[in-house]
Amino acid sequence: MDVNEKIFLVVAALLYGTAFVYGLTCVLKHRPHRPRIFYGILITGFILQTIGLYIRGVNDGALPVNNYFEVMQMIGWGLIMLDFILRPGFKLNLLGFFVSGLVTLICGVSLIFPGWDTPVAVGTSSDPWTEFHAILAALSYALFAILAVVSLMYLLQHYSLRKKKMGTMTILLPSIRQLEEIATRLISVGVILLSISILIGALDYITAPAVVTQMKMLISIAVLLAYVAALFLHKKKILITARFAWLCLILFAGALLTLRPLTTSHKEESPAATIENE
Amino acid sequence: MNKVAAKQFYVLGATHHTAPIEVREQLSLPADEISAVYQKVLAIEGTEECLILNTCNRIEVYLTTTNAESLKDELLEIICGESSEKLKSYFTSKEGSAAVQHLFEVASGLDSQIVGETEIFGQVKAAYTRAEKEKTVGAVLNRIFQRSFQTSKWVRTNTGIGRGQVSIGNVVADLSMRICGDLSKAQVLLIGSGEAGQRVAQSLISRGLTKLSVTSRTLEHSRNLARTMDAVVIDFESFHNDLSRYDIIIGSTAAPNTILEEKMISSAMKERVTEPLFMIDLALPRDFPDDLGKINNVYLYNLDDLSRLSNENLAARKKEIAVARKTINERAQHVWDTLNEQSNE
Repeated sequence: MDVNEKIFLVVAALLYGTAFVYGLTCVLKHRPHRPRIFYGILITGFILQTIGLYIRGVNDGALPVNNYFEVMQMIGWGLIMLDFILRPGFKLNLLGFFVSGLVTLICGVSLIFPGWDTPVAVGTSSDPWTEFHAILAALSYALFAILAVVSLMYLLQHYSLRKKKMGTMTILLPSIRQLEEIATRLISVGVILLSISILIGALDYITAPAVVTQMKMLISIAVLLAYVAALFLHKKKILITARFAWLCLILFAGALLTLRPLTTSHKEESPAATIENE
Repeated sequence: MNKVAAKQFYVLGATHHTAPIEVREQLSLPADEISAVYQKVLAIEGTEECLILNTCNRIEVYLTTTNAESLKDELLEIICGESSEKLKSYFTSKEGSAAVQHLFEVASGLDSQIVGETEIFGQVKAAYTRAEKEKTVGAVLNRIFQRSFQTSKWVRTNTGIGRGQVSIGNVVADLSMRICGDLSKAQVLLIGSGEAGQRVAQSLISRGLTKLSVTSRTLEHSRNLARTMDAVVIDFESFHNDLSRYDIIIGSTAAPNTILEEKMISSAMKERVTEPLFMIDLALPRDFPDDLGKINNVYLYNLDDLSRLSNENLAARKKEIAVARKTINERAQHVWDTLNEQSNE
């Protein structure tokens, strides 16, 4: 791996962390944050991470979603991108602050464990359908990550209202009603994206069973079914308000844990590995 | 340092700190007399510029003079007329950088009855505009007042002096927005014709509420309320049959017992499971039983809760006074030093 591209990713993670610390300092000191400073840092980090991932993709000859490290980086990247899209559209105050914290965690942890960045066979996922499946999966995970953030914001607002507290942060948070509506939309879109991704992956499994393992299919379907069940119970008004928010947090934590077996579960004698060995 | 400049900026006034409301009522200047007062003040020997700040909580005259020692009695006679001796003790005066500091604190809301209130900034600006029209402000007052506006903006942006609401109506409005979001889409029911309920409804209307329904045991009261607040009248005997359509319910009756039961609200919430309900109990004895707050997605606040939030916000604002005062002190001193340097040139 070219060391230079990792420097971009390291600096990006540091910038995300800086943005989070800046936001946290403002909140703790009850001072308004300056959007230009906060988003300036975040955007700079995003640009650097994009450059780093691009260089990696060029070096790998494929989309950089081929090992646990790369997938975590892509989810972090998708999370920031979704924040830029959703925040102005839905007028979600403080979303950027919470997202910067989660992205720092995801990208930072992925950088701490060098063992996660396993060597990738050049040209492993050069099939455009496979890459499309991978990007959709990463985006759906990023959506579930935003859903987790929105759920956290809901719980903060809900419990502060229940306990009859009024802090600087809770005044700035979106309303209970708005957070509930956005969470419903996010889980719906996330389920749709993940379903399409798994469908494409399933076609791969049928047409090229040598590459995709049964374990990977089962884990993917299990994650999808968990979110489908949550969506169904929510639409039926069985799982709502704080309970639904807690479930979204737990589901995302679980989804993150499944990423490791998903990204490391591959057949030993894959065609790509065979090509490299030759 | 040029000692003439050191005496030039002066303020004389009576405020809510020094004068009770009955006295402030006597001192209040009718709008049509202000021009005449300006001319009289400018006619005082040594007075070059002046500005009168006349609000419900203060009557203050800011001016530049070369004659501060003998100024006070003449000014008092202009403001108080024949009662100047009787009302003299309610007035205090400041000079130089202390006067500049005082103005900066007034404009920033530090000297207000409710610390951090924003209305005073508009009042100071309006007074300045009026003085400009009367052609009674010159280079010195212009400089000092412009700096006071900048300082006020800095204080409000960089300190928590205006953080949180302190009136019950505004506390409720803030809570409503945290629960329901956009109030223009919210349906509100006001039960009872109590004054507290009316004030809270007015606060919600000022934040965008357009769909207000009122109900009261006395139909005439409901009709009067509906007329003044552009609301819909609901029959008191049957309002509890349609509770599910409301996002906010305000209780403000004089009933000796609770007027809503837990099963009424539970039943209503079955029809709006994912929509939160905000219940505000402003009555004593209470209109709503405590167990309503335990229903899923119902947020219940009574007078004690609202007062506690209001007091917490006020205490938080007061904590910020020291922070704001430090900056104001530095800025006031800087403005005063600059004015002195310029008068030395």
